[in-house]
Amino acid sequence: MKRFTFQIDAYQAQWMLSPIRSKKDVIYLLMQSLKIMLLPRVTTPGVVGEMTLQVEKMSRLIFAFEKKIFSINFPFTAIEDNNALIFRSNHHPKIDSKVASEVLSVIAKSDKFENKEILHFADPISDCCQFDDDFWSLFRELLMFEDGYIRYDHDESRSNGHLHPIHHFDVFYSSGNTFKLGSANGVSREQFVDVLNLNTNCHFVSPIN
Amino acid sequence: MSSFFYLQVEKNQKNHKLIDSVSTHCEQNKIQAYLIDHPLGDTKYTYEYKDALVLLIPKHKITFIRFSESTQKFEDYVDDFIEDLGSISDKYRYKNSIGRPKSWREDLTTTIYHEEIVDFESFLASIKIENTNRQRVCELLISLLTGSINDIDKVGVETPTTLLDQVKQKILLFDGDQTRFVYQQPTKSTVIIQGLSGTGKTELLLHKLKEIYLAFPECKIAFTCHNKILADSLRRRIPEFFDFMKVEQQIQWDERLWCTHAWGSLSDPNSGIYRYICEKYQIPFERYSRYMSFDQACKLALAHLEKNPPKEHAFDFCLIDESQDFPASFFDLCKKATNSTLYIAGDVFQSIFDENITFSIEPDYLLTKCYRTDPKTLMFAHSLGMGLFEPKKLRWLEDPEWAACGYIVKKDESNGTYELSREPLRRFEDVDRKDLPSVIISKTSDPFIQGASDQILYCINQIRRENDTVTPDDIGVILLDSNETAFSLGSMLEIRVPREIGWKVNVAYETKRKIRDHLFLSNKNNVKGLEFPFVICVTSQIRSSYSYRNSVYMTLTRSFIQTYFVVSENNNLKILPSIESGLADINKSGRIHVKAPTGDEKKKISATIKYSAESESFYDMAHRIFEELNVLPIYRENLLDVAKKIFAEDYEYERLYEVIEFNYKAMSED
Repeated sequence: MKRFTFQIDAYQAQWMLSPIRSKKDVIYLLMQSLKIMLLPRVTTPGVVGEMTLQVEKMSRLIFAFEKKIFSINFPFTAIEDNNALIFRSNHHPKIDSKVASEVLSVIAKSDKFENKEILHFADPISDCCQFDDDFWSLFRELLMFEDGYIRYDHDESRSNGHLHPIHHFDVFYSSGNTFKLGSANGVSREQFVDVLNLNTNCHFVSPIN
Repeated sequence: MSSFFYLQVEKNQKNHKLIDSVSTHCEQNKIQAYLIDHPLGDTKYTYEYKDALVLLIPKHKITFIRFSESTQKFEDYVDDFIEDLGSISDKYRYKNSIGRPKSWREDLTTTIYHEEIVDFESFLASIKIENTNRQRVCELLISLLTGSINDIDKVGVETPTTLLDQVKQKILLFDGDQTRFVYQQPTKSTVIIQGLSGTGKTELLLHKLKEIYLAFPECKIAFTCHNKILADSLRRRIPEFFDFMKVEQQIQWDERLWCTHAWGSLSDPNSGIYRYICEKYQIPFERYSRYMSFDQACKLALAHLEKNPPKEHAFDFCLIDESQDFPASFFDLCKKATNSTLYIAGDVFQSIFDENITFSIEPDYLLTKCYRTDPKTLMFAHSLGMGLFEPKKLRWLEDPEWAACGYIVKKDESNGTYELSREPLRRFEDVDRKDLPSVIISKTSDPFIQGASDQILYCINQIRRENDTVTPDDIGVILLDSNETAFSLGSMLEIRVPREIGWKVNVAYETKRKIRDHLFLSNKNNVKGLEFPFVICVTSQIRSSYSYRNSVYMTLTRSFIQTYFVVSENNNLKILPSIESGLADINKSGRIHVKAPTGDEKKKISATIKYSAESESFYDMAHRIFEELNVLPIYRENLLDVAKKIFAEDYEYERLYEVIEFNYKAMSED
């Protein structure tokens, strides 16, 4: 099992905790997290949460905060080299900070990603490919990968009986698709990971009486 | 005519003596002056009385000069003029700040009969305003009369106290050249305006647009530039600008005014100027592809118009910004489609390594004053960009070219040394900079990511200590390198700046926009059109490739108060000492002192520039080196991959040669 944990301060928590509503938000989260994992480790003052990359049979990024734990699929391979991490995917040999920034710039709220003209979308990608042949393959991979979004909420303020239990899991994110699974007493970070872990026993869902 | 002097009226027998003495005096003493007979910028203010002139000089009373004997009509003229100035001040919401005419007429205006001005200098002394707050009100009045409207909420009436506020709240006035461009009727069908970046070309085009839009209510106007993002931002700026200038007419988009990029797309006839022309004249529209350049598309359209001459014009006026991005065929096409005047604005040299920066066609307006940047910063940026302080210079300009870039050249023929200086700028004239250096070289330790991020945080804190009122918006951090280390440094700053300073960071190479109240962090590819009071430029190694040096030049000039140049000490041991001493000289004397290259050196410099001007692509250059080294074809693909990884976007011949040679040797030995 590979497990790498990164401490998160209040400023990073701001963007990490902003709601996920589309695949673009997932790609954003993934690339921003990648940038953090690629940096030399520095001590974090004022820790408010943790980001963990856990790879065994499953491969996931897990973000744990006081009242919120969530996770997305991590679609790359992580290699440890000399105290630093190197990431690659099936289609890209080395996903570094530069590649991450380029992905972020293509999906940034701009006239590129949402342009109705195909060339306005394709041009910047094609530009990136001039110096990185694998950029488009990586980008396509990102558009196509299953994001596997799941979140645990401890939400007293908005709780509403069994319709919105205090402790619940949210599975998926788009409005017609997402649903909640209640949890009687809530889960810890370890329990949350255990739910997702393919190498440990399954958890069971059963209707309440 | 000098940029220090603007004359609105015709010279005649009565006034020529006075006009000459104002013009000479201002040129000699480098002070701004305007002689007008009605307020500029609004055609509704006209007067029957013609025997008067109004002299406007910042820090001096607005002076009404009478050229005829009779006083009654003159007094009426002065009354009317001041009443109108009062209503202009009301229109632009200055009135609440500077008061009604009765509160400034007495001490900020005066009248005189022209024959009473015997000695111009003593006359000037007699109308001088001493109180700095009153000087400011007078400058605001001058700005209203010359149509150079400032945002009164931003500049304010009180004299600012801190250096940052002094520069930020400086009342901006058009200089003579700028005023002439905006208000003079053109005598030609094509008007060319050129200047260094930062000379305010786009702003002037907006003013011209407003003048035309209001003066010719039925006219059709095209406003364009090559780049789509810039065109979009222009399109957003126009309504804001019209609003600010209190234009009461609605903008009739795509009926009277087209503001788009040049090309456009098939689906929408109003999406590009070329596209619209094709629609108008039923010319087959060519879309962008690898086989269709814009030049070719324009030439095809011209050929079509040659065969089928147009019966009417698509536009009455056409304004083109960033003209250096266009082929000449586009101007020809626009000319064919335009009834009245074509205004073309562009950079003198987009790159300091452009050849032939003096012009095949003489521009009608040459703006040599870069208003954005402190002249000392600009001098250092040119020096570092051209390698003037280094043993091997990368670029040298001939005397007329130095002049075109706004330099005053003094040379000592006996030993070939040059002294280059620039005229002072109004923007900085009242600012007490004391011994504040314009550029500071800040050296970092290794490892670079740690050392540089420490140093950048140190610089930001230094700026905050020295300027109480500084906000995140006032500082731009620009990374000059495009390798992975630079991007990691960016991520490091993204974490450390909020954590250690409490400021949010906008990583602009990702967001591609400006965000309010965020520290702007970007790289060399995203700095066009930006300016900050303070800029921190960061690089690990000062390299010699032209594209790199040009970025250094472009980036350093983005600041208007101070630039920090953060470099690794260890990587630049050889050249840093001479650069530092050159900078110290500029900071101290305000001049560049440099030895001109010898004839041979000059030949070598221009030969190298010529070669690279043909803009050899990375592949072509690598291919040339493969041929030179007789690299076996089976190795070429792999060598290209290696070289690509090492150089990213920034390559130069000598280093590429080394890398290919070294790796080829290693590969072929295996």
